Amino acid sequence: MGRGKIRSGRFCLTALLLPFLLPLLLTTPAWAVQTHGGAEGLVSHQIGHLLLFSAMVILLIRQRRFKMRGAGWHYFRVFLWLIILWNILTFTGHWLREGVEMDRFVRSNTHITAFRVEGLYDLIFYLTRLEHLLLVPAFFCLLIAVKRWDTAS
Amino acid sequence: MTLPWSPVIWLDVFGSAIIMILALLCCRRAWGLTAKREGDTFRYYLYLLTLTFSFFAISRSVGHLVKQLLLLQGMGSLWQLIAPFSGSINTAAFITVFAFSLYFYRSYRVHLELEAHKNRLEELVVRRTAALAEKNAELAEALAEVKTLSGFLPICASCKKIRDDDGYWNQLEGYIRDHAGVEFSHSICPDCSAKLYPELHREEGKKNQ
Repeated sequence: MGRGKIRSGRFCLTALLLPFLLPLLLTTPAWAVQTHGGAEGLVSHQIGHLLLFSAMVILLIRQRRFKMRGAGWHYFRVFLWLIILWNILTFTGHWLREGVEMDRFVRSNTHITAFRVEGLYDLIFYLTRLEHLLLVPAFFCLLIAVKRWDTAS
Repeated sequence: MTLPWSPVIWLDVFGSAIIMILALLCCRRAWGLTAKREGDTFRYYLYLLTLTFSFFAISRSVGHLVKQLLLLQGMGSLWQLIAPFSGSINTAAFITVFAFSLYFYRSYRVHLELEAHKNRLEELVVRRTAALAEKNAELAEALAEVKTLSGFLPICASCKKIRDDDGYWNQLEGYIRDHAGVEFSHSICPDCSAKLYPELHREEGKKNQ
């Protein structure tokens, strides 16, 4: 095949593609990339909570299926249950936070000093803020579980 | 009803600090767990699962501590900048825990299958070792007998009887049969035949002449 034929082939190909490529070069930015602002952060975090909840349930079911009753597994199960409860509490707290009236927070300068409870909604929100009462015992149970597994070995 | 906010703050600060310490202790213990039996895949899985829980706990605790510290210092605007990153890391930790939890079933099944294979192999090794020991004993016994025959044998210069280890004099044929597994078939050599049957040899001499 001669060089002249190759060149004419390339020319034809360019001429064919040009009507399709030219609009791409001439367009203004469409900003097609999706943004992740606003409530999306909360939604994705709540999905994260749901996944964590699912993970705990999966681990509990698997343990029951394999009848794991050795040293440490009892504490691991308590850990999983506490994380489930913590998950429900914080999940609820995140949603309630969006609806709490700002005047419920009593401020001194910029610091919050108290919280005015004017109904069950506010009371539940306040209680969800005390999540560490569940999370600290949970991780204490995890530590005991890992220690028992280690000692059993 | 007005409730104080300070319990929320102090519980957040102390709770986060305690959780961080507990999570680090969990990591240390979990490392010990896997270091004791390096080939155990399920122990390694438990180590990784503990790491993911610790990642979740530490990322969350650091976020909460930084938040309270900045708010106490009146740097709420700085916290507003950091908060999305802290929250995102926390969400990523949730997803990591979820992903690892999915492998619990598979990991434990593999562990059980490997343990079963290992137990079968150990049983096989015990059986083969016993068989080898038995064979070894047989060979040692045979070797001892071979050594008896290859050593010095006290033999009577006259009747050719052989003295055994207990001091008894045995017929040569009997001794060799018992110690070397050799069977004898009796016959007479030409010299003995000439001595024992001279008349027979005389007749044969005449025929040849």
